[in-house]
Amino acid sequence: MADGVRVETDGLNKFSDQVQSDTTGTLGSGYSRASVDLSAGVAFGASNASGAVHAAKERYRESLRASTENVVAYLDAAHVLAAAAAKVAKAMDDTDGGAAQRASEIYNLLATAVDESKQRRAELDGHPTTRRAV
Amino acid sequence: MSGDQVLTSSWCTNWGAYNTPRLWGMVANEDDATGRSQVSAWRTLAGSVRSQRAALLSARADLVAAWPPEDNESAAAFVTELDILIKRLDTASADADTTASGLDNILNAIQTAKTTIQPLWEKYQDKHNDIVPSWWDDAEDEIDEKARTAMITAERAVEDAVVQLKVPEQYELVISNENNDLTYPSNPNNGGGNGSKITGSGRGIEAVVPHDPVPPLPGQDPTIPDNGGAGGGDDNPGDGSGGGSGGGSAVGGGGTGISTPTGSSGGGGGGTGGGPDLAGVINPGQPPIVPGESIGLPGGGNAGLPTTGGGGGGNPLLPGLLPTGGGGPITPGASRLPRGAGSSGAPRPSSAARPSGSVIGESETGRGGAGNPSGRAGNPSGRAGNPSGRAGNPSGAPGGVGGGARGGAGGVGGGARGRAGGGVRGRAGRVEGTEGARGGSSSSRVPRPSWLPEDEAGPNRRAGAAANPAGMAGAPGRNNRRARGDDSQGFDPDNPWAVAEGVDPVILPPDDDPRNDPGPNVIGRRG
Repeated sequence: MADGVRVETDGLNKFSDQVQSDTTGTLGSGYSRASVDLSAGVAFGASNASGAVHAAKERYRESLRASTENVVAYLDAAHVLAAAAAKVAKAMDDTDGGAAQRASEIYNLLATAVDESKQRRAELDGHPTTRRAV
Repeated sequence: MSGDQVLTSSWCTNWGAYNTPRLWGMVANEDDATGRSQVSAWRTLAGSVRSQRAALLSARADLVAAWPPEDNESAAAFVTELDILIKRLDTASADADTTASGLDNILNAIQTAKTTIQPLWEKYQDKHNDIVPSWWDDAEDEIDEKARTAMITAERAVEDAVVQLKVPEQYELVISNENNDLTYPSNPNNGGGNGSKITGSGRGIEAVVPHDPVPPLPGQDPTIPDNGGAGGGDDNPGDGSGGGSGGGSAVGGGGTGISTPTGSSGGGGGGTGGGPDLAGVINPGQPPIVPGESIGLPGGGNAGLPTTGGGGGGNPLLPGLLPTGGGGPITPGASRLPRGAGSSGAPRPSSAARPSGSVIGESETGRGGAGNPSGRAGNPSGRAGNPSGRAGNPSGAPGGVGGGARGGAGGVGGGARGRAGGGVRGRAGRVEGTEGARGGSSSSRVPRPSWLPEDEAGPNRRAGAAANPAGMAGAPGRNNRRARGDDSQGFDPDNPWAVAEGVDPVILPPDDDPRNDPGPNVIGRRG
């Protein structure tokens, strides 16, 4: 497969902007609303001695944890992909398309976007002394 | 994880160890609103994930138009990652919907049980307060069975719904460097190596599992052994409920815990201990107990007598065992000792020390004031403290006059009756000034179990109790035998055969002809 046959950097920038906006407006907003109620945790069967109810509570806790963790990861991934697309577009503009035409360069840009995402997360979620106000 | 085998039950529940008040206590405080809001939240989340997926699909279409993957290797790599995310979002939305349905089904099952058991609980209270002894009509046993059936039905529905609670596999956005043609900066956050990844690990909602189960009836095991299956673990209700049960019993019973605690759970010992005493049957006496010395526990092990209600160490000076405060040996006649004492092997008080109004064969342990030197003060609700419970007769057989059978009812009450019977009526007693007369003290009331509903079910529970606080003194009615909270005949060690002060008789013998002719064919009569 030959690289760099045709690239429209405007399309990449559009993708980046659209995904960033949609992610914040849809999944980010929806998760924010849902987490208000979901944060209540396991809300049934506290006094129930049933083994099935206990298993259900344990399972629900795991479901809650795994599902919400994944949603957070989806949000991050979408932002990473959007950021990577913007970097690809910038790289193509800067190098006249040469550097960003290789798949390896895409991985490099994605990795950079991942690291930047992690850095942002660390600033938001990290130690109180390094946490960044939102 | 979604494809893993799902554990639908942590243990096999022994529903026979729970009666209606306890079953009601399991569901009475279920907060339906919170659960329903979570169902809605899951639906909202599913919808948001679907919207996100749709947005990504739309953006992807624009992307491939501007950056065709078929023409660009780099574009193909990028779109591959995007497609993985879109696929995961598709699965995630379906999982969230399924989880919402599963949670909804669980809540429905519990609510159905609640609505089914509530009238049974009310009916139970009515039966509890009527004048028919429960050993006579077994009314409460029938109600218990219905309540258990409701819980079993709910449990099965929950088991079916557990598999609907989806636990998705962890998502990771992995940027691999398999070709090793690029050097990614080593990132200590992901362990370095030649790849970068994003996960949501540690950023989800971490919940705790609230588990404070209602304890089973004293002497009963909350689970049914299944050959060492899934019943173990720290969350096994036996670990916690046993102690709680024993605690309630000993505190409320004022010397009633003797047949209850066995082993570390503090709940055993009921066994067959509720069997009736047989008049005239002389059982081997127990060796005299010297005050100040420890009672030998033949059972050995940890079958100690409860000090504060647990199944713990053996306090030989149990209030209630020695009504006079000690000094003399325990007299023989603790006929139920071989069975009732269970593994504890603790001496029992003589059956001669029964309070008035008791029924021969009725478990002394069920009568809160029976062995309590302080009388009523020590146990305003005798039933509440009865630890013998249905342990003595799990089958619930009437058992004739056997106290064991209804000792179970006392155990049933456990905390429940401490509130419904003794608690409410204890207040009535104070109003009437009987508390002072009996030397009662509000501080000696039986602590209310945390699992017990705050109030009796039904609109007339309290009113009914207040209107008929005492029942017939000395009669074997339930008011008198069970709800000892208003029992004005609380045991007085100095006058064990005291009866209530009654009223003038309304039916008198005729005074016109004192002669009484027994008629013919009477032994000893000629002609």
